[in-house]
Amino acid sequence: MTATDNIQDHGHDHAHDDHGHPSDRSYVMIALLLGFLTAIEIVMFIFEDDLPGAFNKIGLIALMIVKFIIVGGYFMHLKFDDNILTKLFLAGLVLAVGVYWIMLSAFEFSFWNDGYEDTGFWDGQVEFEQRIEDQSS
Amino acid sequence: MASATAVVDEHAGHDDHGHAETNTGISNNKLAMWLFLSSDCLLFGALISSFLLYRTNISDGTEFEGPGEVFDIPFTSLSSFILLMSSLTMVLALSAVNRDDERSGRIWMLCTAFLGMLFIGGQVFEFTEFAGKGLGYTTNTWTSAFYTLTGFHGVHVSVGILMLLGTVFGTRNSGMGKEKSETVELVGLYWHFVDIVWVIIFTVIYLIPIG
Repeated sequence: MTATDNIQDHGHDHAHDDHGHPSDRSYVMIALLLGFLTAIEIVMFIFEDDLPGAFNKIGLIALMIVKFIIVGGYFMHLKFDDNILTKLFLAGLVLAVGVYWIMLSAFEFSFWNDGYEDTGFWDGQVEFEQRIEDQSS
Repeated sequence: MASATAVVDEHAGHDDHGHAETNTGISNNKLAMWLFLSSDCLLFGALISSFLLYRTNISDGTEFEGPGEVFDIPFTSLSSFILLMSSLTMVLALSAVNRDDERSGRIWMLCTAFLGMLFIGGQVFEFTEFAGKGLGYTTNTWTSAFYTLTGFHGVHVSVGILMLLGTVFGTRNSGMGKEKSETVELVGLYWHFVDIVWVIIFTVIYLIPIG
């Protein structure tokens, strides 16, 4: 690469800056898209009773994941930066989701119904606490 | 004006992105920030899963019938939109600094801090409303989990505001030109992470109905 090439590489074009990142206009469009997705989420919440429960939950989670990926990919520049940063971030994210999924499973938590209340977990807890009280008295 | 040779010299020891040469090709500061954000996923994972576990545990002897009774979704939606827009102003600040447009960079960073303060103000208002309805930190495990999760997020936003203001006012003498772009980028990464966490909290805690 010549010195002239180097200078040209550092010039600006309208679509991307010299880091290969999107232009300001693109950032505004991305933010508007995020706002639009949030509006869809709110509409889904308002019409919650008219939508099947599972559809509503799956839809909201899907929108959440899309917003997560857009912010991470474009605003945090993971799409443009070295892959090692994406892997590093995903490592923490996957570890967190995995560990706490296991923890919630251990408590027989289910996202698709009322949670642990249907499992009798708290009945067992109450019995356990009663036993402890009986033993101490 | 810098000569062509000066430009080449300036980039000695740096890659095409102007980053310092390291084994990974990424500056140590940036790698450390990503490592911190990655570990912070575990903190928020613990808080979110605790909330999920206790989300139906509202029996407290009071007349509180559940989150649907106290959540003000239009208000929280506005707060969420404000935080999303603060991510836009943050990324515009970085873009300006990368163009060596110091003045715009400072203005966008101050806008970001202001939007962050609006968000925090909204959170304080929400907490005050809840307290007014008799929901204290120890009222039941739902309120404990809720205040802990959203409170920790609020602390993260507050730290982000301090980082933004610290960067804007701490560089008054040294300038905030292109050479400071990595500093602004690191503050931005933290800020966007806080935004991402709120994206999850808003959906999982506020929007997804129980049952």
